[in-house]
Amino acid sequence: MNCAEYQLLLHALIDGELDAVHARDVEAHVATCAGCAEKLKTLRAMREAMAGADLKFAAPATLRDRIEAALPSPSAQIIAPRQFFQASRRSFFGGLVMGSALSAAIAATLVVGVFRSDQNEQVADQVVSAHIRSLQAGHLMDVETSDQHTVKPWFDGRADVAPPVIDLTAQGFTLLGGRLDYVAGEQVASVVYQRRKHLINLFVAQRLGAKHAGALNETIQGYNVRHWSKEGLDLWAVSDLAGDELDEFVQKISAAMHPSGSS
Amino acid sequence: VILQQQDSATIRRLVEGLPEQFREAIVLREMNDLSYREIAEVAGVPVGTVMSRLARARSMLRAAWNVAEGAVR
Repeated sequence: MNCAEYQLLLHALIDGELDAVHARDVEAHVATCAGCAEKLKTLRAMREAMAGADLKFAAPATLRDRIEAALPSPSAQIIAPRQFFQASRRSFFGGLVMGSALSAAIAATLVVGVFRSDQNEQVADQVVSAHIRSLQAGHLMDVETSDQHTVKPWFDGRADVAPPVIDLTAQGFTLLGGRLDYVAGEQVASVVYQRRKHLINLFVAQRLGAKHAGALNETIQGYNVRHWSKEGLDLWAVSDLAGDELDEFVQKISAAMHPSGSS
Repeated sequence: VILQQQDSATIRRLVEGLPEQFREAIVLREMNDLSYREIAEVAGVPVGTVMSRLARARSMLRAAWNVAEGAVR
């Protein structure tokens, strides 16, 4: 390969898109080529500067439409007839483009779908608005820390449930923080976790308006939802994470909630 | 080579100045942290195109950046 080819691969390198063999190859070249090393340094500096910049208004207008087209459409099947969702769709994707993770957007769509399947319109309305809120930049978390001893007390006195806040970092699920939401007039605590680039929303409520009894284990349009009840709490885990990994998450949360028992 | 620190507004303006397909790639990558494959799905182009668009976007951005630095100095 010549330098022009290597310089294209530098992008893949800083974006974490190269496999180990190619990454090593590119790095070996950079080690011996001043020009490419310089280029790599510049790319990293730009990346760093951009990470600190607020680009939420820089997205092209048509991007929203493209994303909308590319997303799976459980909403179309489940809620499309509902006018409120049509109306909120714009702000929904506005929120996405304004810097929230795609996975979070899809997670929200999905929770909407799940509630909708209960035929409980009121709950669906509430969930939609709660999640639109959570998608706005900076609203994914009210308290942002990986320290469970900070997150848990934060919920005390704010939420009327005491959600399990468990540090699973060692097990590959990083605690990002927590958030308060209202769904169907009831307070819901959301504990946000991350595995690699995948966000997991763990919603915890005493009991939502919907008669949503029984465990739920579904893959909808490629995204996974788990619902279960434990220790008198209703729990939902939603993520674009692979099903078996989300199961692992559910299992670990459950086990930690009730250490002596099985989930 | 060391980039002069630019404020958020300037960086935003520079990104906004990019042609649409390049702006799309860079925003999805840097802001939304999508993988090449995910960007490819959104943009409806092959993964290889995503990589070359990103390369082009960053090179245009770098050029615009230099101009902006010149203006500041």
